[in-house]
Amino acid sequence: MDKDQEKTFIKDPNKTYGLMEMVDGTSPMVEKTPEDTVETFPHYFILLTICTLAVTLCLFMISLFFDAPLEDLANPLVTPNPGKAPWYFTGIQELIHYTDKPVIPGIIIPLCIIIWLFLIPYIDREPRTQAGSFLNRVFIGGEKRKVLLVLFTVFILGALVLIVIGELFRGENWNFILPWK
Amino acid sequence: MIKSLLRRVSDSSVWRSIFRTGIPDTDLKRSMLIFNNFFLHIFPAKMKRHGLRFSYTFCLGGISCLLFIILTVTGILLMFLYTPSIERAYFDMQALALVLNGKILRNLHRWAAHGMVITVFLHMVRVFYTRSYRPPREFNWVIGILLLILTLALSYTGYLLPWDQLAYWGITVGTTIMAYTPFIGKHIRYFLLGADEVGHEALLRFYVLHCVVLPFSTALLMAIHFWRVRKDGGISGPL
Ligand code: HEM
Repeated sequence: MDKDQEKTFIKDPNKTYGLMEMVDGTSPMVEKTPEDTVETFPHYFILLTICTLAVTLCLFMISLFFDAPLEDLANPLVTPNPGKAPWYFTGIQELIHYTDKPVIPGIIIPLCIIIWLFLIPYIDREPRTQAGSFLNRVFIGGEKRKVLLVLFTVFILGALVLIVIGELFRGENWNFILPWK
Repeated sequence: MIKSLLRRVSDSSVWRSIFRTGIPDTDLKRSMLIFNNFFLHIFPAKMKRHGLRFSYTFCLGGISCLLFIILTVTGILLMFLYTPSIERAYFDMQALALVLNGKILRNLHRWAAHGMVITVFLHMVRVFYTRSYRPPREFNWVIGILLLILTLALSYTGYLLPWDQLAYWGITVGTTIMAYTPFIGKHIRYFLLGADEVGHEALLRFYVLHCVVLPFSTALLMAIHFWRVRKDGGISGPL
């Protein structure tokens, strides 16, 4: 029996037998605690079907009314002003604009964020060593993970704000513009 | 009337040779339906009620997967119509825009690609806030981050293929940023572009990466990702 089940079927140390439980159900559940499960078919398939149809329909509607951009033929001699990366990288471009050392926002910061993302599950766990508990306190902030919550939220909101500014609010020579003007 | 007809069909030997399970009217048959079907057997026969709640997963992982499937189908269709050469690529795209279904095909592929970047990112955000990366799911989070990187790489390599101004300068700006890497930056850029400038070599490289290398890697990691979701005990419980 695993831990979960031991919690449900509490063992009496004075007895060699334990009281199990009778469970209402439609399938045999032997040596298992009652769990709150339902049949995949149909319960999950209803959700799957609705979700699939809704997403496909939305995508078709969007594709019917909005055309993918196709500008002039590529020309190495005509530099557009401003030259923009795809939208998910304009945040980085926006950061580069603030510094004259592009290596920091262009390479070092993204690399650090990726490494940090990889490490999150290995720091946010029950600390077993002293170093582990130190790292946990500094980067996670204990059981409530207050530090991590703040860091992650800042990361998401920061990325969002920078992307929106870089994509919509930057015009010629990366000057600030209002997109509706 | 309709019911008996359905039963006649689902009891016939031809039907039974394809689908072993008859009408799934008992829990046992409902489970067998999933066990016995190649496409469904990645799903468990039973699921935790909690894991089915829309407000827990928002179906974001599933939607990412659906978009990937749509992208694969529309992408293969586009491959029939596209030539990866700087003389032809742009004009193939232009020709595509002249017919309605060609236009819609390209639109579907483009918007699904943007959508997938968004849903994969939001899926990561969901997994973070539900703290679903905790043991035993640590490694599935790592696979997830790799999938996020691959998704961005797929989108980025596809961006060059129409060979218009947007594509050309988008990739020029991006690879210039890469070249800022200390010591090896110029080499990385050269390795990626196959030349000092974005040109024919870069288009061919991005094409092969976009249509073969990256989709296969993504599909492989997605398979491992789904397998791990099940091996780690299904969708994580509430906080
Ligand atoms: C191509 C991209 C991806 C696809 C298709 C995908 C697909 C899925 C699916 C279908 C699930 C089942 C639950 C759900 O739908 O939410 C899932 C769960 C999970 N995914 Fe992803 N995923 C992707 C990327 C990621 C990323 C970027 C991360 C995190 C960095 C991640 C981490 C996880 C984890 C930890 C679980 C288990 C969640 C739980 O048990 O609550 N995945 N994924």
